[in-house]
Amino acid sequence: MNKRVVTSGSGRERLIALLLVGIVVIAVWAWLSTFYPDYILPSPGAVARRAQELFRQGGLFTVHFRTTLVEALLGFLLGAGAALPLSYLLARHPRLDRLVTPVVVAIQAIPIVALAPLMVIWFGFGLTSKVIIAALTAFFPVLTNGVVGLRATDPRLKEMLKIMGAGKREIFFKLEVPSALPVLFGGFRMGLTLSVIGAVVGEFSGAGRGLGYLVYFARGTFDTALIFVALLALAVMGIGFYLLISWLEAVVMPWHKNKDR
Amino acid sequence: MGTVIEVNDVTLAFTAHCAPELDGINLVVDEGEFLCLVGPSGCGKSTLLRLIAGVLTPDRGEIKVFGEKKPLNWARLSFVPQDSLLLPWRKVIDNVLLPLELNGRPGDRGEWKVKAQAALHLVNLHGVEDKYPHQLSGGMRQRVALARALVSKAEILLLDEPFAALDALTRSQLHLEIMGIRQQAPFTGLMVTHNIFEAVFLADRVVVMGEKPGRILGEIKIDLPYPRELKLMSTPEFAALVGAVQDLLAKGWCTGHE
Repeated sequence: MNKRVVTSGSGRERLIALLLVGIVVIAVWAWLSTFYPDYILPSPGAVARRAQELFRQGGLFTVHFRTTLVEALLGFLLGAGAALPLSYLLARHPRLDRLVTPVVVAIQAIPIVALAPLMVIWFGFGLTSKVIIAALTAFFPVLTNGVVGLRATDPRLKEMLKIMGAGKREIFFKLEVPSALPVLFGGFRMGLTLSVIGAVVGEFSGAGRGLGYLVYFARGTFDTALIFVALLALAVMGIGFYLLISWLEAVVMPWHKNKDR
Repeated sequence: MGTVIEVNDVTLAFTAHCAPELDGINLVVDEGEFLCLVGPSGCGKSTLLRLIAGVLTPDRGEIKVFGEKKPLNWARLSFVPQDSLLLPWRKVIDNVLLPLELNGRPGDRGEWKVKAQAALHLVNLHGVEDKYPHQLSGGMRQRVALARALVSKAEILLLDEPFAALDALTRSQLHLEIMGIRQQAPFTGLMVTHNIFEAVFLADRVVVMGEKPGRILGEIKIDLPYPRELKLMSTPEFAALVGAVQDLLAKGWCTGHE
């Protein structure tokens, strides 16, 4: 897991620092695990063996990791895909915003954990219910950031473009969208992370596979090492998503990346 | 020389209960003239510029540019704002050609680039085409804004305190450059500033405004010969003109408190 972060890191120092932190964490973990039985805190070795076992059975990556990954990604795409056009409408029409926002806030106030069982009853034990739960969790940060981003256009830049002869369409595509991108990507980052949580919560509520299902299943059999395997796999997925968004940011907004340096 | 900008009895109030932002403004700018509007901050001189640019409409009175009341496009009237207002996600060259892109047909990009390149040369910027605005100094950004205003060879340039945020040396440099540009590619200039020295140094005529309500107090003709050099600022003639502008400004303060 540490290796993945390291390969993405830029600069030798960062790489060494990460390696050191990784070694220290594993060492402390190994030391602590000597005080507890395996069903409380399994040693790194025990977790690695459990992962290897699962891997050899062919289940870890091909079934469980992939299931959760697909659920989270599809959920994010669905949620963000629905949120973006709505955020445009809300940013454009304040009156609609006043009508819709209370509803959005009310829906958002319902914890996704409480909503998940209902989705499983409605849409079954399979992929669909998880995608919908993940979509619901990813929807709100993308919507909120979309509205905030599209409204954050500098009015002086807008006036400048008008003087230059820009029409509404040109102001939208050449000014409002690019200036919303940094905030929008913040929403994507949050939405993608939340969609993993949504997928896992969905699997808790009823599923036959996935990393969330593994945790749920392992709890029943006190297979703590398996819980750790699933958690580490989820961490890897989270890091992967983080890197994916960072890479997309660098590709879509080269000016923004330079700004940070 | 004909009249290019005509402001007739223009009044504008942002809110009903305050003194009007601008009250009964009359102003005429002739072709090829460089006119500076001087006044304290809040006297509405920037507002007057935005009215002429067509982004605001007066409550009363009328504004004619080239005899027309509707706003003109960038090819005839362009604008240099105080803090450059470049698009941060566009490289310098793409910022400069933006007015052409907004008014032209797609597919002419190569031609736009050539024009943008020429405008950048006019303001003495070389080798920064592919940089982003935040990689430039304030003075360079302001030069880019100037290049953007010059790119379509507009007949009128409106300048809204274009040098206010720059250090004194960079400012002097840009003063000389703007006079150089006027010789190479003549335009009619209307510049807002609260720097009296800058106004006297650059202008053919200085119009002094007072605040609350924004109104014109008077004007001073600047009969200093061209080309002007920086040492002109230490001559008695220059000092006398600065003094005359200051007298007009002071008159505004006295009448403002009656």
